[in-house]
Amino acid sequence: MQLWTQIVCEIGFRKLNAFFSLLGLTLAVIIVVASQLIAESDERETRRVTRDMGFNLRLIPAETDLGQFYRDGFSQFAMDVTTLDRLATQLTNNVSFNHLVGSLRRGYTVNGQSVLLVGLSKTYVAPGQGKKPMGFVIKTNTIHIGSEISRFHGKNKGDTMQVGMQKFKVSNDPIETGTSDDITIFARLEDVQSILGLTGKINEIEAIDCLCLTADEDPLTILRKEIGDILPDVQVVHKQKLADARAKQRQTREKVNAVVLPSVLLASAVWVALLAVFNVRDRRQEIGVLRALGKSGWCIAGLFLGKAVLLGFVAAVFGVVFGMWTVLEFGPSLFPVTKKAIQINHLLVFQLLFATPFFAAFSSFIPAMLAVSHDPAETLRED
Amino acid sequence: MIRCEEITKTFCKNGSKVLSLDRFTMDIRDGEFIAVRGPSGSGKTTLLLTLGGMQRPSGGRVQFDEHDLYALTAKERASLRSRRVGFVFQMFHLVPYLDLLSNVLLASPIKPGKGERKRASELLEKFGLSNRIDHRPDELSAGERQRLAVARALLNRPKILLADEPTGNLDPDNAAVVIDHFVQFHQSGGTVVLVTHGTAADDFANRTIRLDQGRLSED
Repeated sequence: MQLWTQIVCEIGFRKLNAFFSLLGLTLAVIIVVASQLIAESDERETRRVTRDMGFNLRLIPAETDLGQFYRDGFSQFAMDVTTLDRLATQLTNNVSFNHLVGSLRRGYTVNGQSVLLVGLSKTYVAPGQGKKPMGFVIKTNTIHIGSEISRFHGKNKGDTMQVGMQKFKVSNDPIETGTSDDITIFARLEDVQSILGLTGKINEIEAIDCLCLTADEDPLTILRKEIGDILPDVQVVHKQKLADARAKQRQTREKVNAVVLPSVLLASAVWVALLAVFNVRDRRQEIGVLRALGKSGWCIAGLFLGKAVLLGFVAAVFGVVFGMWTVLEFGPSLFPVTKKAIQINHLLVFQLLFATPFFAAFSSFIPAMLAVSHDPAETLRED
Repeated sequence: MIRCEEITKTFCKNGSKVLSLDRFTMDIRDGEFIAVRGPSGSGKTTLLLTLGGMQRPSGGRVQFDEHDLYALTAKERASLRSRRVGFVFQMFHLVPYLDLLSNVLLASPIKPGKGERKRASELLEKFGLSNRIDHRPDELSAGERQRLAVARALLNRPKILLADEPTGNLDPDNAAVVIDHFVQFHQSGGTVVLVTHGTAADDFANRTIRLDQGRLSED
């Protein structure tokens, strides 16, 4: 008799035991699938939301007086644009910052209105990460203007506006933000350098720190060391509130993952093991007679471990299907910002289809060994 | 065929030692039909399991053909059992989730092929069960179940049948049918050791032994 045929027949005969084993394993797989996909979505959502909150690292010339910097919103000193290039060449997956944008910021007067003039470089992203640049891209001969500037000059999207000696096309619909952006003109770095007569200069590099920094490390110390090793002539200013918000969200997720997943796996393993013990008890006479018929210990163990493997595989299929369905069905309402990125994780499916049968067999190992070591004579003598 | 030398078997039960076999010595020759009698607890089942390599004695030696049975490894003993010994039990010990054919084929020491299937079908036919081949044991009467157990024991053409009260749960008619199958096996050259309370085998057994408190009291 084929081992698998015998296992299938036994499952059909003791349906309840098999059903509860399958249920325990399937629930575990569903929770693993859902928690993994939710963790991925959550991280994506966190990155996107915090990215949209803006840069949280500001690198300014070392000689800057912070009192002046916070009062005016920019450093009165400047640094060479090659500083940005030097930092950009060090962007790898091994550093704790990313999304570098060089800027030149100065107070400026346009037709009698005091504004903040900001020139932005292109964004530098660590290679191979495929990340989209943060913020907005400013095209040649265009500017973004704040709502107050729009109101003062009567300029809107598509209008032409003169700044210094140059004319630019307004490329945005100015919206009131309640921040200094309302009195800011954003232009390409080269244009602002030209207007201000500061060719080749910047006075700030903005960046965002990595979500990889863990709770037990001091992020600012790490960032200052990493950046200081590359650029000893800059000060690093960290927007703590943004960093705290990101850290809190990350820590919450890590705590949930650290508690929920191991608990689910442990509960499932105990559940499967208990059902396997009941199964061994139910089958003591069968084990005895199989021994009397000359079946080896491996054959007996194979009946129990094979059953676990088969149930594990079926549970993996059910669990993956239900888990994916749950995430695809309910994920978009939980993660509206990144809902388009929620999709089937094929690697996870592949891993679970292999890991679940192994996990089930591992959980049933001790009961299977009990079956093998059980003295058949004891059962057969009970007649 | 089988030689038992001074076999002793003790069990621990509720903290105290129970002597089940006490320096039991006996020879079983090829082709014998031996009826084993004795009161409950006299060690009959223990003897049977020990003869079949299922229960290691606490002392003594069992010689099975050329083998010192308990000097063999568990795997070697299992292999010997599957090829030369057939067991029949009072409670049948059929596998409840397998059909009749599969129950018989369970005794096959190798993956059952055409030959084994044919042999199993022939046995089921011989035992009057060929029309129930797809049924499961719980759909059979007690007599049919025991016939099925005997068919399973005979699949591998064993040299010896060890039967523990095989008629204990059967009415006289069914008991006679089962005993008849043992007689046929014996007449074809097989050896039978039959543990029994009843007298159904008396007319056919060519040797009767009696156990009392683990000792051979009559041969």
